[in-house]
Amino acid sequence: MICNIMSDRMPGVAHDERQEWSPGERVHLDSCPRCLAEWRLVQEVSLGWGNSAEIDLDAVARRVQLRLTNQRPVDSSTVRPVRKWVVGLAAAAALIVAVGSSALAPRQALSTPQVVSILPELGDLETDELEALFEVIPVANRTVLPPLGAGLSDLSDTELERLLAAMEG
Amino acid sequence: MENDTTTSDEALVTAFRRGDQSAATALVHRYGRPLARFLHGRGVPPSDLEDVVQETFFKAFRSLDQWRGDAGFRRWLYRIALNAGRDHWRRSRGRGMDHVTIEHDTVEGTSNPELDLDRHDTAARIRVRLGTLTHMQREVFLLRAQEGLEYPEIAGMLGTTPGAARVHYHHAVRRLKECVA
Repeated sequence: MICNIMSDRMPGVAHDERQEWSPGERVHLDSCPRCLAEWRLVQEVSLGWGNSAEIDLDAVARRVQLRLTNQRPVDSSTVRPVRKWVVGLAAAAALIVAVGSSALAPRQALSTPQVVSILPELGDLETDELEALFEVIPVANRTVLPPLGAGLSDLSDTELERLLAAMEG
Repeated sequence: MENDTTTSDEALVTAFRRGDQSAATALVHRYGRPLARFLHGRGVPPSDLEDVVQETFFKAFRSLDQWRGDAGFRRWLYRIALNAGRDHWRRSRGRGMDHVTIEHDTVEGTSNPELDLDRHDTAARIRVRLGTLTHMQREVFLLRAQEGLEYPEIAGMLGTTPGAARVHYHHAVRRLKECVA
């Protein structure tokens, strides 16, 4: 039982200077190889991996501010619908090509992975652009594409992996 | 306001919405480094970290209207970071997120070279073993051990339940402990 309590406390003790082991917990740590190994693991990951993740926060803040400032105020109301419209055209073109291909090979059923793989540049789209595409592309296979209105972040691991696999061919 | 640790996230977001640019800077200073660590743990190389962190904040500030205050700002920000990380992975196929790399790994140095070497080996073993875990085990473990987040917050980020997150964490720990034993 105390091992479970120790396990739950470990990340907190490792990250929060205000938390520390009680004398009783220290005694347990010294005598329990299982807890000691877990504590070493948590310490290693929480404390030792920050070194190479250093970034210049002032530079990041400046660049973010600059991008926000340069963003046109009409961005959300005008550009996005235009982008959706363009993406919709691209999807329609893809479908025409796909239907044409399936007409040439009538025994080969048209499936969503085929449609998606016709547009190799889909793999270069940002998440929000892909989501915009999902809003306009006909869904032929619900097991691959998410339900309309769902975000990529709402997908399960399996769904996301299948989606990415379908896009990458 | 830059290193303000007392003002709540919600208050900073409100200030930013009212046009206070320094509130955005304060949020970058508050979460920039943890986000960089979080993304680095998922295979984003140090050379790309600033760009991905910058992208995360830009998308977050740009779409603040979509943030519902009921989910914490940090949780929301980390979800955006996960997506930004996936976008980075798609752009740099083959050297990214789900292939945890060890070539950039460094640990904080001490005055004892043997100890440094030993810690470097341990970190490398952990990273290699992380790559063998399932996606959920790895995400939950890193969010909990590396970031110190609680299970409900992790569950909210990953779209699972706190109980399932706990199970994933313990499975991950059981397999990773061998690296430090």
